[in-house]
Amino acid sequence: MKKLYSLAVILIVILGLFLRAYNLNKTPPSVNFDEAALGYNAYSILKTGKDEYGNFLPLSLRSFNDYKPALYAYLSIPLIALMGLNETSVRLVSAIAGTVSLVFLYFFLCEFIKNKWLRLFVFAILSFEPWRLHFSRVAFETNLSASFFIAGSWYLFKFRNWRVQKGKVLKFLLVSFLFALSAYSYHSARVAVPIFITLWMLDPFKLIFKGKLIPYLNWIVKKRSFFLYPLVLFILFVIPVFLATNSSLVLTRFRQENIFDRYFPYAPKELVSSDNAWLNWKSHPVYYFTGLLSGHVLSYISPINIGQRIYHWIRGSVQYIPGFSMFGWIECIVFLFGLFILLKNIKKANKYRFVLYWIIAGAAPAAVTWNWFHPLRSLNIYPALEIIIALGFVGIFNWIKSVTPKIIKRVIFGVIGLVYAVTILFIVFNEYNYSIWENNGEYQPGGFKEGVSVLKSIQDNYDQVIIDSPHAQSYIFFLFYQSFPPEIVQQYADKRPKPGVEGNLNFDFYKYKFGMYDWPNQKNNSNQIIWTSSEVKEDEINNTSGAKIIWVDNAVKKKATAIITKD
Amino acid sequence: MGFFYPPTEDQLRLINFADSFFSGDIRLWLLRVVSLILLIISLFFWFQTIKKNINKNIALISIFLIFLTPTFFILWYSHPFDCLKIFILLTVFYLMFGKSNEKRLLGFAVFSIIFISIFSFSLTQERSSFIHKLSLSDAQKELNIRFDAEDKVLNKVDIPLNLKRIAYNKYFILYKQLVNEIIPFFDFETIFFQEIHPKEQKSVVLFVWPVIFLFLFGIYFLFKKENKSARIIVLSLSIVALGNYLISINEPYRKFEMILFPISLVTALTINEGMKYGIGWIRKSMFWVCVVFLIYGTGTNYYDLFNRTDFWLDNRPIFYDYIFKTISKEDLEKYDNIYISSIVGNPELYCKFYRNDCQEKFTFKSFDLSVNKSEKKSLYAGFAGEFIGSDFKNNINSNWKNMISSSGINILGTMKMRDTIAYKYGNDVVIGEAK
Repeated sequence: MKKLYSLAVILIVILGLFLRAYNLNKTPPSVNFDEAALGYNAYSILKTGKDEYGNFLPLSLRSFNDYKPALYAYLSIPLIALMGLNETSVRLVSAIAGTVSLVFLYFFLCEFIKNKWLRLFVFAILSFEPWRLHFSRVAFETNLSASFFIAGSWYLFKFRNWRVQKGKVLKFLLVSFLFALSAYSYHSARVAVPIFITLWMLDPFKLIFKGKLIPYLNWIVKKRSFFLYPLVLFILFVIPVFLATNSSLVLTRFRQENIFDRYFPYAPKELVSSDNAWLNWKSHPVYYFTGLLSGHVLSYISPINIGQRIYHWIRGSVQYIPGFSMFGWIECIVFLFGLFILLKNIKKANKYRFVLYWIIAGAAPAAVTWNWFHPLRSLNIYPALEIIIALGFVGIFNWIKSVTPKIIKRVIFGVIGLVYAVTILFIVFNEYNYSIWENNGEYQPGGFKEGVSVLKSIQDNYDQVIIDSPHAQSYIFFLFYQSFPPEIVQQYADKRPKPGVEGNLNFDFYKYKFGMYDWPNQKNNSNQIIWTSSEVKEDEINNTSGAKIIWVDNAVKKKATAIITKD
Repeated sequence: MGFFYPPTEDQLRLINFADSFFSGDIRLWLLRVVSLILLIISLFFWFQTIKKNINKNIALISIFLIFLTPTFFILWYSHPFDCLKIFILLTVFYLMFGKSNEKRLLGFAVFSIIFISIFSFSLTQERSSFIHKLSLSDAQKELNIRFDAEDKVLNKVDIPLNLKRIAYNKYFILYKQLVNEIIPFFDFETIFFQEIHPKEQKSVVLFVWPVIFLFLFGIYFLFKKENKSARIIVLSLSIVALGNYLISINEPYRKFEMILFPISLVTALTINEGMKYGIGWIRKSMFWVCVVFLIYGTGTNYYDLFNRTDFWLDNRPIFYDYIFKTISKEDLEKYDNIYISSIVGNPELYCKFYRNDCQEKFTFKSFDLSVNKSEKKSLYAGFAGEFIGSDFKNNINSNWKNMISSSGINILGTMKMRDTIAYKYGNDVVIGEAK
């Protein structure tokens, strides 16, 4: 039985890897902007040791002036070297990271579920959650970060007593190193990790339940102060990111997205009568701002958010999973039961408080941005939410066991098992094919994958390629899909939009010139190619001598781009 | 600071029913008083049940919390049928839960759901979305859309049809759809954060946001050994609240109205604990911060509700209130016909309330003056789109005033509505005369 159980666990992990890695070149059908940027910069570093701007082995990739953490790109390099620059090589790091994360999830489940067959069942369900599959099949830095985060969390949790002096330094190093890798993978962890370790060190809920400050402070000094070591080590590990690049540029993303500016004066504008909003005592900004901040944090434990609701900033973005939010439908309801069990036990054992601190810390970086609920920025917390779902399953199963006779119990468990088997199939089919249809659009722009290879095959015969694209960073697809020589791109670094500039970041390079489609004027020029997704009157092209049009379909069989050649 | 919100259709139905006994605004206020009395009796039953099964303090705090919510205020002010429903449910609840008993839990829940179903259907004659889904027609539709969409994918992952059918069949999709009807019940944003709702959902505040912290701590207290009765009460009323949510077809705060009771009870457990002597200054100060925020939040939300009534509440009564108040200033004798739009409700009900004579000259239906020429000596009241023609994207020409005037209609009054309540016809209410 023990062998069968272990085999089942291993099978789930292997199947997890297979489903994550299968047909990565087909679905999602084309790379998105960030995937293309990560992939191309990895390729550039592989070939030249420098990123697309010519920075030598950077810790942050300037990319779209958003200074992406560079670890994902570095980890992709061996795969790109082996498989070339394509969707699979870029996404495989995420698929592997998502699978590794499963192993640590299993470790956590062992701590929270004693019944091993129930644990296996819950593990199987959680391994194929919509978010796990979706975020592992796209090159998300945040998925890599979340995997390191759960690994760091596991060791932080495992060494929670730290009584044994032997190997203490190594344990500190391991925790700090894993968390640092998380921080080198995605911005959120840089904020979440210090908060997490601090909360875990101070254990404020213990203070709330104890209620007395002096004994609590004594306890902190005697039993918890050693957590300062991993905290300080983590900070030391992460400092180079800020030193290597102008720290204000690293914070660019935060400046663009923070909660503070966008919502001021926080209260409904019609109710703010005074010139000075802070004097408006009837609808005071402090009340509304505190509410906003609380709402941002608590939105991550609102069942509807994690199970169904799609906000407009999520729909049409790469994080959108059609038909789901993050978890399966039943799981978000089970989550509520799990939350109740967690709160019930919060005083009894610190492992429950650990999960709560994990959620608070992981949600904090996302909470200070303007979006109410943002899965991408809070991905670190989802394993913690899964632990709560697991608690919910345990509670429900125990309840069913206690109130039903054995035969009925077996029938109920059989039905639940069957429903989940079908649900997992649905999740897989949904992710593989249906999401292509739903996600095709702004963030998964079609036409580039199909069109650039056509362009590459003919561009040598022409002097100029005019690109008319509505996308502000579409240049990256021309680099990615033809593995464009990075040495040439790096020569244009000085001519590109300066750091801090937002909006249109396209730049002219090689034969490529970004401009508008204007056939009445352009038809007189010769030896040029025009790439456009604007409306093209086919008759006009066909009636011009030497002009030819090649249509490129996107992933859902719709005309996405016209490549017009003029001899 | 005063509060004004016109009568709802539900109120008007009842008022017109009792037309022969009273007249004028007094009818409306009498109805509101009756609704309030029903709710107060319901609260009394709630108080008695909690007092008997848990303790008096918690019962008092709980009814105080319910009494404070803007939803409670709006229910008695505008929704008499909801008050009646709550009254009946709480009366049965009181009678069945003299002493909380697990066996009665199921009985009460089953009774409540049957009662709510019959009650809702008899009032609206409509099926809720949840009930509608059971017909499988929506499941079939969704299934077709899925197959169709996947067929259009250029380079898809091949999955054998037989395997696909296991997950892509109308029974599984029905399961998906039904669960998706249930999930919105577990919506912290609507229950606790309506005042700053991220989707700007139009509804009334159920609980001000500080309550969520007291509620979450309350869960801890709820699971203490001594609170078994509270657990039974919370569970039974949560099931009823879920039933009410799934069967009702009203605005969110009315669908959620029954959740006021279990949540107020859980919250009351925290407040009761917080008021105990000797719990330590840290817990005490945290508790009082929450309470201060709660009281302030309640005040500020009432201030908001009174100042932006049209933001929080259904605008249709406001539309008819404006029309009938405006035309009452006119000499209606000079018109042969008076057309009142029926696009957003039943104008006849409003007419009977605002005026005594609603016969002969009045026609209560939507009109389209871009197609049919206006009749002479007639008065028209409706949306701008009814005067100059509708637009399926609701983009009514911004020059509508001039367009109406140039068509020979003299504008007597206009009002801009806050929300789009008559899609395709614009957000501007117009009263005009054709001489």
